[in-house]
Amino acid sequence: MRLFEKRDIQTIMEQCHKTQSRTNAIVSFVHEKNNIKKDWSDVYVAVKDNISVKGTPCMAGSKILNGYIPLYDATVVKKLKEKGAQILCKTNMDELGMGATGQNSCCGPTFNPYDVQRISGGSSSGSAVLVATDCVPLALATDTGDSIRVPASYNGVVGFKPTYGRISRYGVISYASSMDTVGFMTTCIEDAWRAFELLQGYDPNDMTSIDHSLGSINFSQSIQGKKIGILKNALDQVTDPELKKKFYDLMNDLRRQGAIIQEVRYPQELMDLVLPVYQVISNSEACSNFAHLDGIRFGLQKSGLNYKEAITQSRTEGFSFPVKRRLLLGAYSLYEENQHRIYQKAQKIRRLLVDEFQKLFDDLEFLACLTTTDIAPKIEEEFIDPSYLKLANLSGFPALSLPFGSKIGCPYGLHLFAGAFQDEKMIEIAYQIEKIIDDKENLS
Amino acid sequence: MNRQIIDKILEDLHFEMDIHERKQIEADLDALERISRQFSTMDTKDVEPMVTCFEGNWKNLREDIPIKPVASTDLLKNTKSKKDNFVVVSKVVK
Repeated sequence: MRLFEKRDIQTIMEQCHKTQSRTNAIVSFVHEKNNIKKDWSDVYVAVKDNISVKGTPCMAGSKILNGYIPLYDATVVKKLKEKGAQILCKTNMDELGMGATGQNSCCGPTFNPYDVQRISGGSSSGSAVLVATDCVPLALATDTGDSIRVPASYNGVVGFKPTYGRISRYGVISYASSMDTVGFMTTCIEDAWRAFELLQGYDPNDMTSIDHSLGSINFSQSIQGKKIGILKNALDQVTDPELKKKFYDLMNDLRRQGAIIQEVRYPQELMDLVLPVYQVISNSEACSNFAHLDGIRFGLQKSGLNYKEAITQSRTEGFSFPVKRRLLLGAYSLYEENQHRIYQKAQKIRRLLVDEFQKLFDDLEFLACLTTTDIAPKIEEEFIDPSYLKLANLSGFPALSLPFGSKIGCPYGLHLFAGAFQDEKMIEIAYQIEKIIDDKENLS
Repeated sequence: MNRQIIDKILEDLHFEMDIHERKQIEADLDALERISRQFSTMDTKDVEPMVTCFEGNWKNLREDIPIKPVASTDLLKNTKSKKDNFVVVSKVVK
């Protein structure tokens, strides 16, 4: 479904109910109609449930926020409403953004629409599913460690994570503030550009918002001369020869069209540290960010004999065990006696990781790999988190996943990284690659 | 030793865990210590911690003046227990 494609609300709701019965992607519908008539008046948008929509419950997949209703719109929601867009619903997600499977939400798990016995991916599970099933052409989401790109891959949609700071985080429930990025899902790159054009921009309400002017896009920009690196470390993790062949066939197609393709390897010693560094930093920041979820002023509010007991009751019942684990590990990392050797050390190693990542872009314009190492696993199977994706979060560089192939009817994505603030260039090249993929698909 | 540490952290974080969850946490803490040992093999002498992406790219903080104050009645809309424009909590002092 395309961004400005007209459809009546009845048809949309029928599609939503059909999807919901199979996938559990929707948490709640937004009842307030937007009466502003502008360019985006026919556009229905889904919003991940950690992004505030005024007057609509916001749970972020967690019992601790049960009953919480935001008093204001997030900046990204405000921008959509000002253009006349209709906010249709809030989408299911892994609790507080912590998860990559879509399985850990107080609203129940989200299932993959291509095969309901498989995971949808997360944490932006519902957003990916609703775009994949033609309920909406655009769904807002967030990406702290791959939470847009993994579900995008597993659901066969475009998942866009911009440069950190280019889209405002005001009104978004923070998980790991130094990496949280607002992005979105669409069905094609052209729509991704339209969405980025609208949503990006400096916001004085968000102190991490970056004032960077929007560049122009040339969709007829040729791929000739573009320098694309194949991230070998990522391809080494792909065990299915069919997936690898498809990827390398595409690279050869790009080469034939004039792109300069070369294989690159990120130092494996550093790649092995990406996941632990990410875990330490995100757990520590989450522990700090969620300290205010105390069950006193909003959300789940349990009673107790005293103030402390009331807070303990609320937090014990409000957080799931997977979240408690992360918060506990974060707190341990932040303790005075541990901070230097765990948290601060992670921050120092982060700098080394990012400096090395930046070096790859000294010679190259983009890096390519598969988003996930295979199609979505079955629910009972192990999920292998593609840790290389987190390089985009540690560095703040832009990245996206676009639909690439399918296996036994389940999709998987192609992943692109670009250098800092090269979002527009990344969209340009993704458009060309998308055309090549589509042309090949039509021929076969 | 891990049990005492877990007790302390749970006290600080204000939530509880049952015995099975605590067992898992013990294993998690051991894993975290292994990560710490892995970190210690990296030479980070003279390397500054990277606090966030693109340090130095932020505009000056705006003045700490409320632009649009939120009415207390609105602020209390999400509070279950309130009285006379105040949040009511169980007694603080035991």
